[in-house]
Amino acid sequence: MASSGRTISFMLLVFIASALIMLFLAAQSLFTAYESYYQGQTEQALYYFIYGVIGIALATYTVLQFRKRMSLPTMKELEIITVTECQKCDFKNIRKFVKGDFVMKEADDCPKCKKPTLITAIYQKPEPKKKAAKL
Amino acid sequence: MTFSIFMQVEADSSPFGYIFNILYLLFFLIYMLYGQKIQMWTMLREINSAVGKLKKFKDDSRNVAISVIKETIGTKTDPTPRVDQYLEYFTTFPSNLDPAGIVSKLEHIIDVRDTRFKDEIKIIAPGIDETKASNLEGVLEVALALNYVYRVVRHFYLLGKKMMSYLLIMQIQMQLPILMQQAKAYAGAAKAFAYGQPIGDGAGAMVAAKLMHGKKHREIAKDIVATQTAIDGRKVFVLKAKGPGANIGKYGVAIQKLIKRNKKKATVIMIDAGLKFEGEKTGSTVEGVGTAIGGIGIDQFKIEEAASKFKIPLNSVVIRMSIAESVAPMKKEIAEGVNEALAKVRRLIKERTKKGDVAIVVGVGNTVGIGQ
Repeated sequence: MASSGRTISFMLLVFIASALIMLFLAAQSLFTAYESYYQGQTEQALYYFIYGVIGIALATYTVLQFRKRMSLPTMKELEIITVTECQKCDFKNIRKFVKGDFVMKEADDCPKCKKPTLITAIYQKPEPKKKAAKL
Repeated sequence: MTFSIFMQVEADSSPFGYIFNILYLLFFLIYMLYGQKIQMWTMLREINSAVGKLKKFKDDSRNVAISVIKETIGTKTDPTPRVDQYLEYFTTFPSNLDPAGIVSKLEHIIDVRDTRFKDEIKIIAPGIDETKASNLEGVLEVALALNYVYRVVRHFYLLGKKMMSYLLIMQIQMQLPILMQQAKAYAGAAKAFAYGQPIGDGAGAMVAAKLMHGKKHREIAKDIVATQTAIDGRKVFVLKAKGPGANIGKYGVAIQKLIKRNKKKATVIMIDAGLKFEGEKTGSTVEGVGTAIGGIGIDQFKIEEAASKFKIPLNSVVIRMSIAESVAPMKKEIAEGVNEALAKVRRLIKERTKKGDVAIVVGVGNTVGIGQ
């Protein structure tokens, strides 16, 4: 598997190199177009200019395609939190999840009324919100 | 430097000029003739890195399962070979050439699978308690699913590379972002099952758990517990899978029993996690009619059969989330949605039934990390 991956990478490197050569040739074509224009050879200049622009577009597109990578998800360590609530008063506590916690389990005593609290929710700690366009 | 090269090749008539023009045309030809091949190599590289990532997800979940087993039975025997055997298990589905009666055949196969998996866990981890066994089964199911995804993607990658088939490579490359997102969620779920943390799919069960808390409950079908209570003068049966282990239970059988017992006076209200579309808010709740239950369709079939026989109305409340969110540890938005759904269930009981009627409230979903 690893060696096949290396072969693919080598072939892609060859094509990136060829795209860069193409870019250089296209730049040369544009330069010739510029020279021809100042020498009064407008028709030849136009011909080289079109040639150059197409070459640059092709080479740039190829290089960008190689650079663009699919965004593969990465695993982040999730922080899980446990919410405990007192059934008698309004006491609510949020703490880190401890192995053995489950929703509807009786937890530590309420500091106000000394009655056992109840685990009412266990969830991932929310990530800071990113600004998103409203649709 | 570059400028001087340009000056040298600038004249059309110079030998450099000819060489550059020929080279230039040659590259155009290469791009025209080999463009598709270049694209294929780019796609193969992407699939190759995705296969590597999937392998990591698969191995991680396998290692989580092995460490959970070692925690339970100690390190005297190595459970690795047995776990690897488990990860390769397959289930064949009944022939549908003659679809009549396929549901009972399907149910039989699912029951056999379930029994086989539970027995296997008893062999891998002897003496494990019921909750831990259910959670371990969840971890192993996740590892099995990830192993399958890995094998499928690797198959298409290797086949596409061997045949250099644009069609094969393209179809797997185009599905990769969704596949990878789901694989990532599954990898997260392995740890949730190992530690007994609720997952998004448990939202429906959590609504039922809030209604059941503090009341007596009993098992009325395999892995399904029920409580009888009263809300606004209505007799209410609340059902959920037996927690806090990772259970799903046989809702179909349980609801059939209750419907048959209460016949025309009953109303069914189901709460489950439902698939949201992109752009919709995670944890938002919506109401509808019909059965809100996923899975292979056996439970849905049984509930619909009983409900249609006795003309029992089926109402549903759905808590929206994506597929990835349904298998990942529960998000805060979903936990908040549970309270919203609970308020809707209470309102539905009031609006859709009369005093003295029977309401069957069913909290559907995997009940890992959710007691009653």
